[in-house]
Amino acid sequence: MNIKFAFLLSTLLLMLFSSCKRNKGTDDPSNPENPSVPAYEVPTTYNFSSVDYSGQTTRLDMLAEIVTYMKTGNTMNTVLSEGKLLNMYDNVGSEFTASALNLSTKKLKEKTFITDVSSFEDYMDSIAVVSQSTVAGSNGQAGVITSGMSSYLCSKYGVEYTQMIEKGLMGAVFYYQIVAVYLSSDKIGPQILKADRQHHWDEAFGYFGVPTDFPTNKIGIRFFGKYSEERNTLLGSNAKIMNAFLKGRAAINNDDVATMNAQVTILRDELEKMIAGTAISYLNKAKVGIADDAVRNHALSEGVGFIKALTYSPTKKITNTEINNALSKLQTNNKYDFYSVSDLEMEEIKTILSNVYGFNSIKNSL
Amino acid sequence: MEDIYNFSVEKKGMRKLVGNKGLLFIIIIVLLYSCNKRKKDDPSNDFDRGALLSNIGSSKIIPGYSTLKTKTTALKDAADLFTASPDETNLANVQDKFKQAYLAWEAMEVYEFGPASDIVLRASVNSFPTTISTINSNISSGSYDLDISGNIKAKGFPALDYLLFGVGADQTAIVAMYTSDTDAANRKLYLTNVIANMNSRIGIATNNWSAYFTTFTTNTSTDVGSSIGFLVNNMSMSLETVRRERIGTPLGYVGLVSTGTIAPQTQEAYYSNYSKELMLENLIQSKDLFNGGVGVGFDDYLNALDAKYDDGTLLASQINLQYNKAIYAVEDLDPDFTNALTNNVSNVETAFLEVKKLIVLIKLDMASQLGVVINYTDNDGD
Repeated sequence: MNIKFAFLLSTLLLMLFSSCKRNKGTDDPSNPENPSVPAYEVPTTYNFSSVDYSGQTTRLDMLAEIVTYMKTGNTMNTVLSEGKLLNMYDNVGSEFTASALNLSTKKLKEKTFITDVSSFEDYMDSIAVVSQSTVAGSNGQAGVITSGMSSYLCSKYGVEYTQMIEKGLMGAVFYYQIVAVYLSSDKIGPQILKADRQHHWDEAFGYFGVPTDFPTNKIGIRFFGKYSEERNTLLGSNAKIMNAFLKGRAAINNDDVATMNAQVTILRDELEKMIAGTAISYLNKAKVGIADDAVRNHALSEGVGFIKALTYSPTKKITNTEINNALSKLQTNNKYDFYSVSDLEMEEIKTILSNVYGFNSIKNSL
Repeated sequence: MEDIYNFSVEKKGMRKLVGNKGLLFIIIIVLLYSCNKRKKDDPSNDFDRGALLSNIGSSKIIPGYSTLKTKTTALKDAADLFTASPDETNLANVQDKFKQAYLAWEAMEVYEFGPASDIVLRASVNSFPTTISTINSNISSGSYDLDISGNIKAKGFPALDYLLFGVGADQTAIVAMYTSDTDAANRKLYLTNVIANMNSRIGIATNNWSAYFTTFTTNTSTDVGSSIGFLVNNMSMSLETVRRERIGTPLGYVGLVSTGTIAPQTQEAYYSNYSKELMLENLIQSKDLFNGGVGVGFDDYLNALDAKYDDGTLLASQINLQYNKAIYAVEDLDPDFTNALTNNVSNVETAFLEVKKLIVLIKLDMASQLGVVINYTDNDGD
């Protein structure tokens, strides 16, 4: 009886205690739904002990170099080497300018969503072929298309492989690795050693492409970091994503599983929204620039990469059918053809995405 | 060049200042509204943007679309007559109706937002220079979808410019292309289809504007996506197309850099030679929008804010002065724009510079005074 009473009392006290704590305000760093975890602080920058995401930085650097190389093809009569691109993708043959990349054991290829590897290799083959054109690009003619200060190497169907590869790999490597690999229970589940969970979380963060004190500091943002910033005004992506990374890492440090899981959900949702919003922003650019082959082809090539990226999340809000339906509107006879797209079709894709992500009120402003 | 650089740096500082002023202005307006009392003696805090929008909507945009619809319908009727019996009289008639419709379009090109941008009206109706190889291959094949991106430069007024003025050296030769040429039947059909495509889109924009009118007049903020924001951005962008596409590119400019090689075939209406009249109409209509016709316009808005130019004069007066300079410079051009480019290039340079100065006043001075963010871009840049 006594013991029972003491237990009840202590439970009551604990409830009181925790409810008080809950009322303390928003500064309380512990998870309100997980009051058994003692209060801990969430830092405002990604400075934790033993943080290491050098492997991710290396892969970001590798893609940056591949892109730089592909963009040399935007100058007419610059022939690109398929072999060099395939080597860079697989990091063999010391093709990178930065020797550190050549010495690294990291390869973009081995981290690519497996079933899409061959399509990237095909794109690398295609861009090399297209780069052999010695005339300006146009409808039905591969080559460099210039508009104002910008030049883009496009296929005879208007496909800019540089964008298909860059945005494609951002999706099939960086985004896929964050949401489907490192934020999965295989990497951060309870069966994984704490030190490994911490490291895996850092690796997820490393693919985001921002400095540790983002968004206060935006110097050096790249890849998804850059697009988070672009969407920030309308979607508030910067703080939502960064805070979730910070809170999740602090949660792992403090064995706060519930909070960590909540951050996984936030990260997956917010990254997906940011990607969908970016896809719509490119459709808007393509629509405004519909009469400008360079602008339209460029924007649609980027857009395809972002729409396709939505595939990779295990908790995606959009269905594969909807993704394929959207992409098929940019195709003729199952091939991307940006000379055969109408403004209405672009609008239809925007509608598909906006309906899924609740962007109807902002779809024309994205 | 250096002059302008310094000038714009100075403007940046000014914009910041004005941005704060703009915020204060909005707060005061909100306060005033909530009190339901308005201070009549302080116009700067009291400018009725709703009245400006209502005036522009009802005196410029709605009637403008109505005129455009009438003129393009007349063009369709004239083209039907011409395709039914292609002769020189009917050709001259459809050419005249083409000119009237094109002039009516110049008044509306600046309103590329809402119902117009939803259906990419400007790109669909006036993407120049037209691609005659695409037009001709469409005509020969007889199989085409005018709504796809690859045909956007093979339709609209620029395509009609070619079809009605450019397919033969003179009227007789043009008529022959619609009577005895192998592709005559296909060409007649193409003419009909291009006009139908254009009129359908103009019809959609015109119809949708009646529903959009309330949205337009009640969205009285100056934020991105507001009606004021749309108007100022589009005024600026439209003037940039006068400077860049209508004058600069034919003059051999890439951006602000002259290549010294003129490109007359890139002008707005190369085959009919209406380019000068069209760009003149474009500028006159732009000025009329600025002044709100005879009603409330941006001039009144700027004056209500007591917006001053660098030299202390009223900014609105300065802008009107510069509109006049640009308009006079275009008026001074040879009626045949190709001639102007070939034989009197300094006049064209003058027009280019005057329009450029006008853009600075609208894009920097006016936009900053009104707290409007210029958010259109021509290119992605990455």
